[in-house]
Amino acid sequence: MPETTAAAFSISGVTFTYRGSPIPAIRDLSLEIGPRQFTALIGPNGAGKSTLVRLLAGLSPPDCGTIQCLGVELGDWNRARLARRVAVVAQEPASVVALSVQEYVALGRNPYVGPWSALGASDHEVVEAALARTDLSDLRGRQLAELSGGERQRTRLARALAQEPEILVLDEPTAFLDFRHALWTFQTLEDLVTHHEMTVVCVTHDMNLASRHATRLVLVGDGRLLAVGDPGSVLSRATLAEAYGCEVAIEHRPGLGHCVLPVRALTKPAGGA
Amino acid sequence: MLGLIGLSAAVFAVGLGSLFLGAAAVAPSDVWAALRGGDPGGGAGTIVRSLRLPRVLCGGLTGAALALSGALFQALLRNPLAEPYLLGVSSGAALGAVIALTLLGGALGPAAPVLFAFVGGLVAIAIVFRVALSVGRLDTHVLILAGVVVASFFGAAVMLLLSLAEADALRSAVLWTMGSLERASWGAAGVLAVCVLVSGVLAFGLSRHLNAFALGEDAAAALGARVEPVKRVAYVLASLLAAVAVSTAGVIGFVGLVVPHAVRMVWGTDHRVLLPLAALAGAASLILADAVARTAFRPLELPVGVVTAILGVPLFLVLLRRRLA
Repeated sequence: MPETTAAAFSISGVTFTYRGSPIPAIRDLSLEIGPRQFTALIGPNGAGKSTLVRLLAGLSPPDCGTIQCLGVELGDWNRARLARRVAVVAQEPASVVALSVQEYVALGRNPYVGPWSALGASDHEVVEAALARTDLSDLRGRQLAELSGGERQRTRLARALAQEPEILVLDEPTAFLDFRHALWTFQTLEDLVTHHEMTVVCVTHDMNLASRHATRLVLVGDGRLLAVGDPGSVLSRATLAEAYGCEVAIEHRPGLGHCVLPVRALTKPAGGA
Repeated sequence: MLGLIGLSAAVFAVGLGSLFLGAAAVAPSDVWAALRGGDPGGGAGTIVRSLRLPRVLCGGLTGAALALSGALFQALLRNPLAEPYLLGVSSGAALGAVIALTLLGGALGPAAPVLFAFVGGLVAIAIVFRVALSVGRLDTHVLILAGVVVASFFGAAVMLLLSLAEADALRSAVLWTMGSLERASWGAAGVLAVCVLVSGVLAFGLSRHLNAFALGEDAAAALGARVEPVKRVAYVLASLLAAVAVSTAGVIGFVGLVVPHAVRMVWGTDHRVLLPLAALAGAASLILADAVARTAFRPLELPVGVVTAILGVPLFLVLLRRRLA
C-alpha cells in the first residue's frame, strides 16, 4: 500500500495570492507533513495559517507549486474520495442552520453514501461512535443554535470523525474555548494520533498546549515557513521575537511542555486577521 | 414517512374532490361515470375528461414544479425567502407570451404563447447564467444581481408592448401574466409530468449536497461535494422547473416561496425529506387554490395567481414574523 507510507501532505514551492490582493498570502512554501504525526501550525495573525488550511483542504488551488496528499496531487483527487481520507474542521461562522446535532454529525457520512441511497446501519454506527467520542450522545437531539461554544466545537469535531478520516485538518479548534475545553480538545487530538493512527494538522494560537501535545511545530510568518521541528527547537526566544515582534519568556517544565509568556511588544502589530 | 403518506393522500383527495367542482354543474354521479370512461350525456364526459382532469393534473404538477424550484433556490442561495422567479424566468416568459399575444396576435394558434413563454424564460435564464459565469465560477451575488436586472429589462419590454397593444390583445396578455390554469391540456400535463419527474429525481440525488450547502460552499466541498457542478445542475433544474410552470400557467406567486418554507417548519431541513414533501404540498395547495379560483365567483373564474397571492401573502407574513421573532 503506497498510501500508508506516503507523506500526509507534501507541499513544495507553493505560492498563493487571493484574487484582488497585491501580496501573496503564501510565498514559496515547502513543507512535508508526515503520517501519524500531530503537527501544530502556529504563527501570528495574518501569517497565512488559514490560507494554508484552505490549500491543504483543496478548496483553492495554489498559483504555483504543488501539494500532494497521500502521494497524489490534490487537484487529481476525486472530492468524495478525498473527503473519506481527509476531514477539515474550518473556522465556520456560528451558523443559523436549523439542524440537530445528530443531523449535523451525519453530514460527515456524505462522502460514503450514493446520491439516491439512504444511510445504512453501519453509517449510523459510525455517527453514534463519533457522538460518543466527543461526549455528545446526550445532546444528539439539540439544535445547533442552542449549543454553547464548547459544544458547537465538539460537534464540528464529531462531524469530522464521522468521515472516518486518516487525516484531520483543524483551523483554530480552541478559539473561544475556556482552558478546560481547550485542554480536552488537545488531549483528544493527541489520543487520535497515538491510539488511532491519525494524522492531525492543527492551526492554533495556544503554544503552551501545542508544545505539550503536538509532536511537531510549524511556525509561519508572512506566508513563509519560519521554523519546523520539535517544540523545543521551534519555541526559542529569538525565533518567536522575530515572528511575533514580541519579547517572550520561555520556561520548560518537565511534563508540562514549554510555557511561552509574552513580555513586551517590540513593534506595532502588523497584518490582518 | 408519515408526511409522505399524509401529503400523498391530501393530493389525491384534493385532486379527486376538485374534479367535482367547476363552472358547469355536473352531477357527482355523472362525474363518476365520466371517470370510468362512460358518457352520461350533457357533455359531462368531455367536461370531466378533457377539461377538469387535465386541469387538475396541470395544477398539481405546476404546484409541484414551483415548490421544487423554490426549495432548490432556497437551498442554493441559503435564503429561505428565495423564490422560483428570482432569476428573471417569469419576466422572460411574460415577454415571450406577450410577443405571441400582441405582435403576432395569436396568429400561430393557441399553443404559441406557451412555446414563446418557455423560450422567453430560457432566454432570460441563459442571459443571467452567461453573466454570472463570466467570473469563472457561478457567483451567487452576481447571479441575483443579473437576475434582477434582466427581469426589469424584460419587464420594461412587456410594458412597452402592452402600451402599444390593441384592447383585446392587451386583455389576454394581462390575463396571461396573472396566472391561470385555463390553458391546461393533456399535452401540457404530459410535458409538466416529464419535467417534474426527471428534475425531481435528479434534484433528490443532490439532496445530501444541498444539506451540506447550508454550512457554506467550502464546507460542502470538504464533505465531498463537487461544488460547481452541483450548483450548476441544481440552478438549471430549478430554473427549468420555473420556466415550465410559468409557461403553462403564467405567473403564479407564493407557492414556490411559502410551500417549501412551511414544509421546512414542519418536517425540518433535510432535503431528502423536504424535496418530495414540498412537491406534494405544492401540488395539493395549487389544486386547492385552483378549485377556489374556479368556484368562488362561479361562473366567473378568478386567475389562480390572485388566489395564491391573496391566501399566500398573509401566510407568508406570519412565517416572516415567526422567523424574525
